[in-house]
Amino acid sequence: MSDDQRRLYEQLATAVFELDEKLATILAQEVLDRGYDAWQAVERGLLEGVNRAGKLFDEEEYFVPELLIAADAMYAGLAILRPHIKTHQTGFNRRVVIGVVQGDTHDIGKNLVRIMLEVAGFEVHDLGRDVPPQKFVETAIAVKADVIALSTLMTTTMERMGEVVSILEAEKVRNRFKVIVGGSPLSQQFSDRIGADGYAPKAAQAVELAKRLVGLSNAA
Amino acid sequence: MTLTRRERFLRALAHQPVDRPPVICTGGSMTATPEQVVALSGHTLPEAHGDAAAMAGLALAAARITGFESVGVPLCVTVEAEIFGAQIDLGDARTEARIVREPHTSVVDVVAPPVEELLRRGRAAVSVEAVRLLARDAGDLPIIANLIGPVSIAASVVEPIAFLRELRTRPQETATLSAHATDFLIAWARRLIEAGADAIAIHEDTATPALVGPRTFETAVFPHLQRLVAAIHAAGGRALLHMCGALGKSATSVARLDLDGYIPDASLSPAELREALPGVALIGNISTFLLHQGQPAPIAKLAARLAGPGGFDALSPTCGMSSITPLENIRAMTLGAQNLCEQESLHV
Repeated sequence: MSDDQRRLYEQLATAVFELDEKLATILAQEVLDRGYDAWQAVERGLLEGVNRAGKLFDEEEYFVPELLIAADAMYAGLAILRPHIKTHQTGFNRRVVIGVVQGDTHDIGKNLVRIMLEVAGFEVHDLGRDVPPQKFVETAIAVKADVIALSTLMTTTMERMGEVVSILEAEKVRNRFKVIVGGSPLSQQFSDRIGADGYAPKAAQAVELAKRLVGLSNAA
Repeated sequence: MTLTRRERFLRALAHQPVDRPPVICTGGSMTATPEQVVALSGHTLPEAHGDAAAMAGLALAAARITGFESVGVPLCVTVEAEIFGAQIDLGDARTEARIVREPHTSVVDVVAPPVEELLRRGRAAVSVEAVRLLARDAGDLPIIANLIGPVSIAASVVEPIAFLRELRTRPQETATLSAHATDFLIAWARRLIEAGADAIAIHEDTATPALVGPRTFETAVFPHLQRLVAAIHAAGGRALLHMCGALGKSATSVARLDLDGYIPDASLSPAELREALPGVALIGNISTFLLHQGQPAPIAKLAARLAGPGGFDALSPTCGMSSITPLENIRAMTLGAQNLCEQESLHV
């Protein structure tokens, strides 16, 4: 890798980290114009920038607005680079169906997990909020998902998560999917009780969990 | 010391001596009407969300059934969102009223109607009438009216994730919308206080320090809350504030709001809050997870401890109680706080 290449990737990372969507777009185009590798630019530029933003989020220097804008800058660069990425280079072939369960419309946490999953290279099918249990199952089967991710902020709606697992079992498709759960009233104990495959208390840990469950734990 | 329930509440807010801290529940995002309470009340949900007599009746019944020493309306968190054009679902006794869809995906598309028009919409007048009925019927129970915080209202006019982003990318436009929501809240709060509300509880449940961070909280949330609190005081009311999550560095902003009371997240301790918010009455903070899933005896014990030395100025569940919270547990909380004082007074 040339110094010029390295410098350009670093500038791309900085643009994302410093929340500059326009600059990220310009630099991504420059990567292509100079004939550099698109996946390297994603990995060492865009994803590196979002990871730095995520680190500041963990350190409570960045908050939700900053993380969202960093993700926007990442997506803007990705839109330009993605058509030029050779698919075997990435983890872009794992699919997650995500949503907030029926009865609950709190979706900020779910959206953060979606963004972080996308950053990690998952193809995410977001069903939004107030999603009936059957809808998770139907979509997961239809898109051949690897993971079903369920979110709720409310104690009243927690039991909806168990219903998703029950439907998967009743329809004899339970072993096709990993089911993960998250949300402030939940616990590992709850996840075990309803027969989910995993629970994560924070967005970043949800991504680690998903990667581990689909055998991608060392992937970018 | 024989105090009426209103006197006890108001003295607790003013840091004047009391026989014991009151046990209250504001309503609004601090739901006081779980399923079992509604079933015993003679009222039904969602009907009571839209009818002044039923709203006041259910609030009053909830205080009688649970032992809470306050009444509060509205009973849900969707009045403002509906007025500002969000599509809402009023739910039922089991499922809380909630926002189904915000009307806009960006703040640039918002054209908010004038305040006078907003006051005529939805359930704004119903809530004022419910307060007036409570002022007539609630005897010595203090009356609390609930408002959603101005920036959280703005985040129910614009899809919340887009709005949180635009707090940074479009500070001017988001500030204009939040200021308009504040104008509406001030006009509405005046009517609620005039109708008999002793205190206004502001529930800033989306634009919290934990989500937006101290810088954005100070620039984009604090000015609107400050103006609202000042207007509540000018109208003769007391101002309470609830936000979910930790305060972190925003504690210094919250301390400058001139609040009468703060209702913290259940994870925060009275000791750290006393230091962070000097002079502000602390109202809290029995975990609603514990109330939902715990057993009566430990709940009563915790309530007694938090009502004792080094505890809270008033006890309350935080944040919103789940609709399937057992009544037995709520009773354990209200009785636990009251028993402590009786036991202690034997030793005095």
